[in-house]
Amino acid sequence: MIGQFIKKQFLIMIRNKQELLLLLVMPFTLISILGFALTSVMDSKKMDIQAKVAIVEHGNEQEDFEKFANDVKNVQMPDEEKEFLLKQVEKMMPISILKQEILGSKGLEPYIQMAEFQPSELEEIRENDKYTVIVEVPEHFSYTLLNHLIFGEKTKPKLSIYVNEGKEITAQFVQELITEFQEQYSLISKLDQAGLNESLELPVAKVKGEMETVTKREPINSFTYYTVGISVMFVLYLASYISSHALQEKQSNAFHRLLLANVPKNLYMAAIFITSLIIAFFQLSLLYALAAVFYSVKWPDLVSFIIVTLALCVAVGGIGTFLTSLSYRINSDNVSIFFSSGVVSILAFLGGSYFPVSQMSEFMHKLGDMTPNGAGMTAYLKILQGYDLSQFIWTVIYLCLFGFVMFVLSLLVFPKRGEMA
Amino acid sequence: MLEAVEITKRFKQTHAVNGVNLFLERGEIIGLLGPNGAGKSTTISIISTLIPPTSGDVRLNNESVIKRPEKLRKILGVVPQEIALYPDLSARENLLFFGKIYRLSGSQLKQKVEEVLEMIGLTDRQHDLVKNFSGGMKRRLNIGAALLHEPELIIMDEPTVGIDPQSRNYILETVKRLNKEKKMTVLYTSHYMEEVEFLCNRIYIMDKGNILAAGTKEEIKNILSAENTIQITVERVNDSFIQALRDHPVVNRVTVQDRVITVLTPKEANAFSILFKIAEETNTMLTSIEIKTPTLEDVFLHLTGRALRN
Repeated sequence: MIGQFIKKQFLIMIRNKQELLLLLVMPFTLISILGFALTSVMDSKKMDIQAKVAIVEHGNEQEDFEKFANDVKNVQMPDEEKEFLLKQVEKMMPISILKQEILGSKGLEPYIQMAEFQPSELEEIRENDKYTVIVEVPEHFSYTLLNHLIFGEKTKPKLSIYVNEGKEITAQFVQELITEFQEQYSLISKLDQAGLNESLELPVAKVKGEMETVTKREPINSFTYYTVGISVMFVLYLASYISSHALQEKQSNAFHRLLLANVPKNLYMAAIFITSLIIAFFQLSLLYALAAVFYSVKWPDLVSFIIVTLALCVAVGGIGTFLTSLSYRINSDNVSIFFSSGVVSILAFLGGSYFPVSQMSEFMHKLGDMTPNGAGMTAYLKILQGYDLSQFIWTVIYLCLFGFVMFVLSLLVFPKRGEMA
Repeated sequence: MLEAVEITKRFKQTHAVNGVNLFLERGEIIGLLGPNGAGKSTTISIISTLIPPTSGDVRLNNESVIKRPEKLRKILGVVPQEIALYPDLSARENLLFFGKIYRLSGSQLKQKVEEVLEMIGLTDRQHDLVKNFSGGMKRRLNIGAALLHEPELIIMDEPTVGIDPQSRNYILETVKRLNKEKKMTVLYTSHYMEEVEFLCNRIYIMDKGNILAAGTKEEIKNILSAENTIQITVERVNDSFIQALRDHPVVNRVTVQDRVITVLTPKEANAFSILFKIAEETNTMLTSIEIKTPTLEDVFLHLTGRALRN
């Protein structure tokens, strides 16, 4: 029976040119306008990154190396191997590499100023707003790390990184750089041990003055950004479109026909949920297909794309049913009108559809990610940047949960027999 | 077959329905006659289980359907006053949708759709979108959508509102046919007394949430057996003439519509000579005067003091 509801809604939608215009043509036009208009702003190669990084070392790396060398001497292995190992290790002391070849490298000179401090100065520099990132190196960091990497000790040391919230974009840049360094360092060490390290390089080698390259993530151009931003915004209009139609169904008494045919309330709501979900999926797919054809917005991981799209559609389905329930309860289209004319714009702003508000502050970033469109957008952008699904799976789960909670709420809000105005 | 027992419905301070008793026997066409706002639609919404009553009961074959409406709904078709259709679907698509909602499928559904289209005279226009239909065609389809599952009982709420006389006749004939050929029991609400008079075996007259009278046409008209309805046409309505009529002890009721004055008087009174005398005294020129056979409209007028379509 749900199939009939879906078919009916599809037929109504494709015959309603005004709605089609709003749901498909308008977003695509906006993508085109914003994509062209903001190309110079979003695709600029110039990076205004000026990061001041403070390094506070609690121990001494040279002492760590000596301690490690002593340990190696007591290990049962041929002397030649011990010698080779220590030579390798001496060349790749992690904090020295971080300081000299990463943060203090020539490539990053225009962007990063590094300064070293004593542990006693830590509190002072933490209170000082001057530094973008403070890297605190715990005592015996290098010794513990080498033991972990080479002898498989379980303890894995961690650098403490303090981020200046007021300088989020720059801080993110440095943070990603250090994370990347840690990943690469571990890998290189393992391969070095196996004698396989020929092609891998530390991230600094790839620095060409662009953050995207440093972080090894695909750059997002304006068309890509607005394809996602505008699509996740306009899919929200579908929820109000669906609820508005459902209310017409009630006001024309067609809904009464459904009741008289013993169609259960829950089935009706499920039909609205699934119809919204499917139409939203088609809407998004069509918009992304158009963007792929006209603006070459390509998805590197199609499976992740489909999963995120479905999760976003679940959230839209939940909103659609919730708006329907509210409209039925107050017997007015005002809920849908308020949602489409006010709430969507606010959600779009918070979610970053107009510009990346998440870069304004950590708070805005978190707030944006709490909106369904913002969460969807984050997930989409991560796919486009080459992240793996596992790295944003919680966003996908959040979207599904959001839709599910809205659906349950809509069942609770939906008026019972006799309560309907 | 179906019985409403002392049903009342209150909306905050308003008594929309006030202790209504009503029954339908199998194969009957029952009329529920009353002006707009009389409480007809609320009554049939309760009877069709769409809204629960504040008090009272609705019984199908002596079994209450208030808490378990499924049994009644299975055998019930309702034609609402509104056009309960999807304007962006064709007539056929609408019928297919509602048929499927009633769990019809395959060849049975197709056959029922053809049959209903034929019955409501829309076979030729079945692929046209409903939004392009005339008011009469929409009304016919509105009825058709309630017939797909072959209900034993059909409730029609003012199914001819706002349509041309030709479509209206078509609908009335269709209702008669459904009753005769399919043995369908019909509850028909209207504020057009001629429709109710044409269709119904028994009639309930309703106003302000109350049933004022019930019975066969003849029984209801007999309410007026003690009165004459005299219709006077005057050249020009004269206020003193109207006032004199209202003040006269043998005149029970006076209503004025344009130049036509309707007067109810006791049968035994010598009404003509009294009327002529008043006309002479107030210098009123009469152009015609006649005693009318009482209609349901007259009965309603008698019972409420208001015309049905006011």
